[in-house]
Amino acid sequence: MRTRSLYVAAAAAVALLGATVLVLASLLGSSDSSATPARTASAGTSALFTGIPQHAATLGRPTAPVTLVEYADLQCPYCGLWARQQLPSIVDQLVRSGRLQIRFHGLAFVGPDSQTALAGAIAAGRQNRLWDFVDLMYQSQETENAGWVDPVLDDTASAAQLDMDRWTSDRRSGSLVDEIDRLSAGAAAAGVHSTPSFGLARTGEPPKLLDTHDLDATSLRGLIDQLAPR
Amino acid sequence: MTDRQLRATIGLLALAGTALAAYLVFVHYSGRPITCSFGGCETVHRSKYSEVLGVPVALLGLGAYVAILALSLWCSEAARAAGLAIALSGVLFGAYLLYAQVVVIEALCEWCLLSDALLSVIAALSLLRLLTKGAPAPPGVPARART
Repeated sequence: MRTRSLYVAAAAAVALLGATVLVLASLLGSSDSSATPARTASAGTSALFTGIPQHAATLGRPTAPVTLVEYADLQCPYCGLWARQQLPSIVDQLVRSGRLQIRFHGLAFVGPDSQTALAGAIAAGRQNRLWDFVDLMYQSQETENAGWVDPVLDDTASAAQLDMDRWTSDRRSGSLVDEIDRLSAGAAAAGVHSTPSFGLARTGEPPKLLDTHDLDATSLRGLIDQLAPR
Repeated sequence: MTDRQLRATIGLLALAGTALAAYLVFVHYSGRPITCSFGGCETVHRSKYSEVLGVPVALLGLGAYVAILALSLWCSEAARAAGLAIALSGVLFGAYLLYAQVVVIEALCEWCLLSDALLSVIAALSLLRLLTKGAPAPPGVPARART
């Protein structure tokens, strides 16, 4: 009996030690956010959007009754936070089910790198993979204007499974500059003064700006149900 | 329960856990969407808590279930203790991940909850197996049938 008690005690001690090591390793890994390069995140990004139609800057079925417009700058920290914390649930619960489509309305006001990043996103949109690219950029996001965009750009495009030659050519084309200007003017006309901002409307109607910068799946579901009752 | 019954039950539960963890490992590396009834699985799957130092938690779970399965086939005091240690370790780490799901991620993954439940039952049965070595075999059963 004493031997059994010793075995139980030893098992409990080993279990406690093992669990402690795992928790510490998890905390250590999770505190080092920079250790999440684009390639590591690519599987998760791909999984999030797999099976959901993408067309240019729009994610979701064209038949979705409601459209959310996300006004964002790829360098904006709160945009990155929203994309990492809220977007997965929204895509899981509302886009995948066909209730919602989301249009990415990119802006480039934080700094010159914002324009570089946005050009990359629009060029990815020409291959209908803008959402993969944008999500991966947010996974790699660091401090604004700290020079993180250029070093991760090619890896991000590659992880988003883009045709690299076409993407490189597209993102340097002059037409993108005009498109970025159009996006900027469109946001100003919509009354967007900060990012992330969100506009919501029945699909096909002009979006109305929402009075929130931290939209979550639960509140968005309520708004969708109001706009398009089942 | 006899020790044989305990081992069989633990083995079956570990087999179910192995299948569950293998599916999650497949999802992790294939990039395919995860099947989910309530919609929180993808959020949890994409969170930083889905990996420990670059190793998918699902892969750790798979290793644990396979080890428990192997130990359930092995009849010795050390095997019983090792099985209990692994299961208990999984329960404790699972509790930490459950806390992360509820408080930090604010999403629940039903596969993780199922795995937590499996590990809890396995841990309880492993403790029973170690403490009692199973009940004696019924009268008339030859001694060699006792394991």
